[in-house]
Formats: sequence, structure tokens, C-alpha cells
Amino acid sequence: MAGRSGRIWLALALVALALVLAAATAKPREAVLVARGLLVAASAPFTGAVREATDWLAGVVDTLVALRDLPARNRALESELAAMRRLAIEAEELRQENEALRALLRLRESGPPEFRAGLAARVVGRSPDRWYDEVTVDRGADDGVARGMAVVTPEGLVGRVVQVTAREAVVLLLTNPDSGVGALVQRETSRAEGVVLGQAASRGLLTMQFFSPDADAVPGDVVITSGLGGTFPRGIAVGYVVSVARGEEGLALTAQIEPAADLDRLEWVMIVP
Amino acid sequence: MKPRRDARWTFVWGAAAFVLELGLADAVRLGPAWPDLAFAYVAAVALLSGARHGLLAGAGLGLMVDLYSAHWLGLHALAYGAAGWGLGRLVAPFDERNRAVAFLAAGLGGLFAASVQAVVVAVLAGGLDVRALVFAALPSVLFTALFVALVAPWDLGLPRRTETEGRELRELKLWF
Repeated sequence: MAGRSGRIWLALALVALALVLAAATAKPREAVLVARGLLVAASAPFTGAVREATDWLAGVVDTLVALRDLPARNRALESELAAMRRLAIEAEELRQENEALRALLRLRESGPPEFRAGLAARVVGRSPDRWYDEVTVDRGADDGVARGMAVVTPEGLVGRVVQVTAREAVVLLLTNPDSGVGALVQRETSRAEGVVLGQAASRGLLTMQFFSPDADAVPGDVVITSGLGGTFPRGIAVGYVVSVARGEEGLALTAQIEPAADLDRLEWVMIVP
Repeated sequence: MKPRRDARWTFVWGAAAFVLELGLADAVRLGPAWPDLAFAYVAAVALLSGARHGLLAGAGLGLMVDLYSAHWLGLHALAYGAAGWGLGRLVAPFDERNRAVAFLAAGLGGLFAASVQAVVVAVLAGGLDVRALVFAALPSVLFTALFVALVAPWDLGLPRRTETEGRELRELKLWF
């Protein structure tokens, strides 16, 4: 019993010691801080290694979680990419449309006085089997369009309106064999006049029949509307002389003309009242 | 020679528990609960090696924890030492390798240690709500007990509890 009693007293003494020590160090003391510093210094390499290992493991777990989500994320990104592509296409279309309309606006402001009342129109119909004959535009009688009005692009003459409905109009292209435009060579030393006609044989090119057999025309000459006949205002570019030829009897002079306007790629035009 | 080797393992596990407590406990935190790996070690030693080892491991590692926090020196030493000793006594009549026994014993031991700390701080500093402190410690105590239950069936190289300790207590049917 004495031994047991001694152990109890020893335990009570140790408890009392712990309490006294705790009370004495309720606030940090210099000696304790020094001892703590030693303990921290001794354990720092190990705790640092544990923290690094933990961080590495957390990184691996994060990567695994990310891999698990990868297919869904991939699908979402693909969907987003498709939407972006659609947007890019739309934006490019809008950019080109904007550019075309700005060009038409500049033409309206800087062209002949008749252009001031010009009306922008979009080409909405073109039949492959009548590619060089006519196009349909989205402006009609409701917009003030009437038969005979000239149709131009910033590059040059396109044709004239031959048919009108309330909301649409049909434009007879220069390349149509039924088309005829009074024109002259712009060069100051020439000013030779004639009529520009569409060709049935060589689609896409025009023929200019000069009124005078002594007309002066060379490849590269610019041909513009003469304004004679009243259908087209004077001074609109019709095309460029590609070649000049004289008829079999040596009297009639004709020239092959390449249209100034790109009639293969018509999207926006201006109708001139 | 064997007991010496076992004592070495006790030291190794203690140092490992201390290092892991400082470096890992925060990383495995679950909301308000974080595992007190130092106490988990004390509980494991008490379960596997008995009350005396539990007391020594608790007092020793508790003192290290106190030293690391640099104030209330002896607080953890007292709480862990008492809990280690009590745990060793409490579990003597039972199978210490049973996970349920280990979980319950470690849980009770953890609550006891938290209570001792709260009471000591309340006595020395005054005005502390002991009940609130113990309840606040409850999630961590349960988390820690889970750790103890996980390692309970393993030998860990620790010295085994003596047969006489268990027998003596079974005969006395008393802890003191």
C-alpha cells in the first residue's frame, strides 16, 4: 500500500508541477521561445518535406479530378468553338457588307449629281443559266425603283432595270445581248463614241461598235457612258478595251471590252433614279 | 533486446506523429474537424502498450506540442499523459485490436483530454466556457478516434501490453 500511496503522491506532484508550469507560461516567455525555436529548427526539414509531399499529392488529386472532367470540358469547349466559328462567319459577312455599303456611300457622295439619290440594293436572285443576262435585286416599286434606271457598283456600270415588282426589280446586265449602252473612249486624244453591246458568243465580255471607222482606240483605254439616249448618266465607267478589230470590209471598227464592274460577283449595287 | 527495439519504434512513431501533426493535419482538415495526430499516437500507444507507456508517450509528446505552441507549457503534457494512462487502464479488459473498442476508447480519451485542457485553462485563466470548448473539440476528437481505429489492428512494432496488467485489472474490476 505504501508503494501505491507513493505513486499517487508522485502523480499528484507531477500534476501540480504541470499546472504550475502552465500557469507560469500562460504567456510566452523568452526561455520557452528559445526552446521552441530549437524545436522548430529541428523539425522544419521534416515538416517541410511533409508539406511538399502533401502539396504534390493535392496536385495529383487535382489533376485526376481535372482528367475526370476533361470529356465534359472538351465537349463544352467544342460547342463554344462552334459558336465562335459561327460568330466569326457572321462577323466576316457583316464586315464585308459594311465595306460594300461604305463603298456605295462613297460612290453616292463623290459620283455624278444623279448618284445623290442612289438607292443601295442587294442582289437576291441570279439564275445560273442566265448568269450574264440578268439579276434580281431586293428593291422595287415601293422603294421608288422604275424601269430604265441605271444600276452601278463603285467599279462601274452594271446594267439597267427592266422589270419592277413592288419589292424587287430585275436588272438587265451589260453582258446581255439585248443590252446597248452609249459610250465613248475616255482618252482625251480619242473621245471616240460608239455603242457597247452584250455578246452572245463570248459571255462576260462586251463589244463596242464605234460610229466612226476612223475611231482611235487601243487596248487599255477606258470606256465610259456617253450619256446619249438619257438612260445612263454620263461618265460612268463601262469597261476597258481589250482588243480592237476592223470588220471584213475594212469599214466598221469594233473593240472587245472587259466590263469595269465585276459582273461575276455582284452582291450590292446602287440603283440610280 | 526486443523491448529496446520496441521502445525505439515508440520514439520513431512519436516523432513521425509530431511531424505529421505539424505538416499534415491542416491538409486533411474536414470542416471544423482536424485529426489530432499527436493524440492519435498517444491513444495507439496506450491501447497497444498499456497505461504506463500511454502515460509516458502522452506526457512526452504533449510537452513537445506545448513547446511548439510556446505557452501553457505542461497543458498538453498533463492532458495527454492523463488520457494515455487512463486509456491504457480503460481498455485493459478488452481486445485492444478491435476497431470499435479502439474508436470508443480513443473517443473517450480525446474527450477527456479536451476536458482536462479546458478545465485547466478555465482555472488558470478564468471565465472560459468549458462545455463550449469540449463541444467545439468534439468533431476533431471523433476524427482522431477514426485514425486510431484504423491503426488499431496493426502491430506498429510497439511493445505489447503485459498480460499481468490486463489480468490484474480483470481480477480487481477496478481501474485504480
